[in-house]
Amino acid sequence: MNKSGLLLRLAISISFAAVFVGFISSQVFFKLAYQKNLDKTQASIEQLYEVVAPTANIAAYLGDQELAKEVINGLSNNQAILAASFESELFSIQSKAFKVEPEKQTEFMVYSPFVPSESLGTIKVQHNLDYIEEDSQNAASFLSNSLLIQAFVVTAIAIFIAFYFITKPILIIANRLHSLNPGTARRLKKPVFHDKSELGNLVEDINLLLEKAEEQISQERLLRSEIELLEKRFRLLFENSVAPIILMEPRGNILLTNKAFKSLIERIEQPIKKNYGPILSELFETPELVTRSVNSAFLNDEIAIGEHRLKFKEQNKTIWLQVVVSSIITDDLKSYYQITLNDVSKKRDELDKLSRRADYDALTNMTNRHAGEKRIDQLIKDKTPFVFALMDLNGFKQVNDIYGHDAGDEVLIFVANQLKQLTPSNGIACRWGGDEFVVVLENTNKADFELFCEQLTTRIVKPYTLISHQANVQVGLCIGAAFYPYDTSHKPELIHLADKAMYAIKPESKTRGGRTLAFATPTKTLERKYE
Amino acid sequence: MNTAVAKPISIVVHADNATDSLSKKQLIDLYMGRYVAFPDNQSAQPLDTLTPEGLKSTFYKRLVNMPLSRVNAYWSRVRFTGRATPPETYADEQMVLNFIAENPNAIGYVFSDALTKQQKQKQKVKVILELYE
Repeated sequence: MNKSGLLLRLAISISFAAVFVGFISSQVFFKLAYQKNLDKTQASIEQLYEVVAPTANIAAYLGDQELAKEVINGLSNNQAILAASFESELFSIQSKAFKVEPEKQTEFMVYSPFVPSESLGTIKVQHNLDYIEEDSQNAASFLSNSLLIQAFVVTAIAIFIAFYFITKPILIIANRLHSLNPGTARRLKKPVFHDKSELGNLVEDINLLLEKAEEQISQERLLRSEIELLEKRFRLLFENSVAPIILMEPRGNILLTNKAFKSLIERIEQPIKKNYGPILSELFETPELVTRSVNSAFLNDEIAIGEHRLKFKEQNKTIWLQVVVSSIITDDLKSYYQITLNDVSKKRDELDKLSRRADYDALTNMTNRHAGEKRIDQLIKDKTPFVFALMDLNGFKQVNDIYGHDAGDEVLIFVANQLKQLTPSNGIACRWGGDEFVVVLENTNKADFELFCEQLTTRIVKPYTLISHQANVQVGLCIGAAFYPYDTSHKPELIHLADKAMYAIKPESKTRGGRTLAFATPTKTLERKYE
Repeated sequence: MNTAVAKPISIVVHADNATDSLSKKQLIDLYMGRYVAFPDNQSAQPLDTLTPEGLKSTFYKRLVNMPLSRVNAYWSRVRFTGRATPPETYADEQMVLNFIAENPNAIGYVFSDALTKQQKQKQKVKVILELYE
């Protein structure tokens, strides 16, 4: 049986109660019976004495010891009497068990049978308390025994009733309940004979609860499936995002990344790590800039958006990433950063190309006139002295005419390369238009510039083999130069002066051994000013 | 019977008996066997009589306030142990008086009217107690 089962508990409780009640009631009953026996004994002794009184009177009257002994024996033979004594003027008789200090005794006066007022002696009757106690105990133990038997019978009946009317139905209900899954349409059946009982009500209540549970569970299932669908979609969105998405703690511990981030890490040949520093700064060329810009954005409660270069270069090309960092604070006040990376290298490339197209000549890949003029404007703004040299090719038109535009383009690229190679890094070499080129050199003097022109001319006038036609061609060069701010401090005039100088020697430059370099004449500048 | 009951009863002894008067208690002790001697230690022999009718029962009625049946019961109980014996019984008053006249130890009872002065002297008896209704 189950140690804390209802039946065992019930049995133990009833048994304890029965034993307790039995014990108490037998104690009380013993006290009562004892008292009652005492009273009864007193009465019976008195009655007994009534019987022997005439004999006792006569014995005392006549001083008849034999008669007196008879009286005493008659009294002592009674179970309720322990001992007796008879004292008169003429004799004194005691039975064997007579005690000097008895627990309880009754005294009777013995009178003359003929003169009732004449007292002749006393009879002392000592009560047999042991007998009384034993008798009372017997009565009490009989009671407690019957109570014990009654308790046993009642316990057995109670257990029987409890088992058949309570425990068994409960067990049946419990077993059914155990095998029952909440959320299904199954319900409990009422146990037999329990249609209207508390157990029946319990079953009804459980069924009501099951109904509610079924309703709730089906609702929750619906909700869960919706959430699962949503979660699937979110996962799809997250995992299939082209942009790497990272969830991290502010200190840089990465909590969640998507496939795109992993493939980015593989692409830039980095080990998979849990931490790449705050805001992934270790991956970038300028980690401090990354963290600083993010922190300043967060200080202004803005989402941090910045474009940063990765350390890694792919085929010598810089990878630019747009870094979008937003700070997330959860309900339990934990702070997280969500980082989205967008590869903007292509955009950057295109922008570069665009700016290149604006500033460079597409054919020769050198600075074009527009960009060149901008840089000259900058030099003038900075008041940096420089020489402006305008050059024109001789014989280019013939190459074009004989070999076609491809050959002409090839020659132009050849010349441009020579210019680019010779021009120092702080100088400007640009295609001015057609077969015209411009070179600007900072902080130079006539002598140095003449040397530069000599070298340049030497390189360019060398016969050049056309790749497309396997033929040698040769072009010449004519240069006109003006100094800023020596000749003039105005750009248009500077260009004009150089142009004029160049055209002045154009015919001469075409002849063998003729000058190929001419400087602007200041007098003419003055004239021009007045024009 | 009514007349007998109303008549006084005289207790008589031999004229020479040293006892001149007895209390009722002393008489009871003699007749019920407690003592066998007069107060002066002279032994006593109490006598009962059967006639006249009513004398014995009236005597015991006046002496111990008991009917004869109870007195007989007393004696039957006492006789069993042999401690005391009941008085000797005579047929009539005259025989009792005659016995007393001849025995100084005897003591008896008669209706008072059965005793004349002359008789007292002739018979040598004396009354030491009278019992009334």
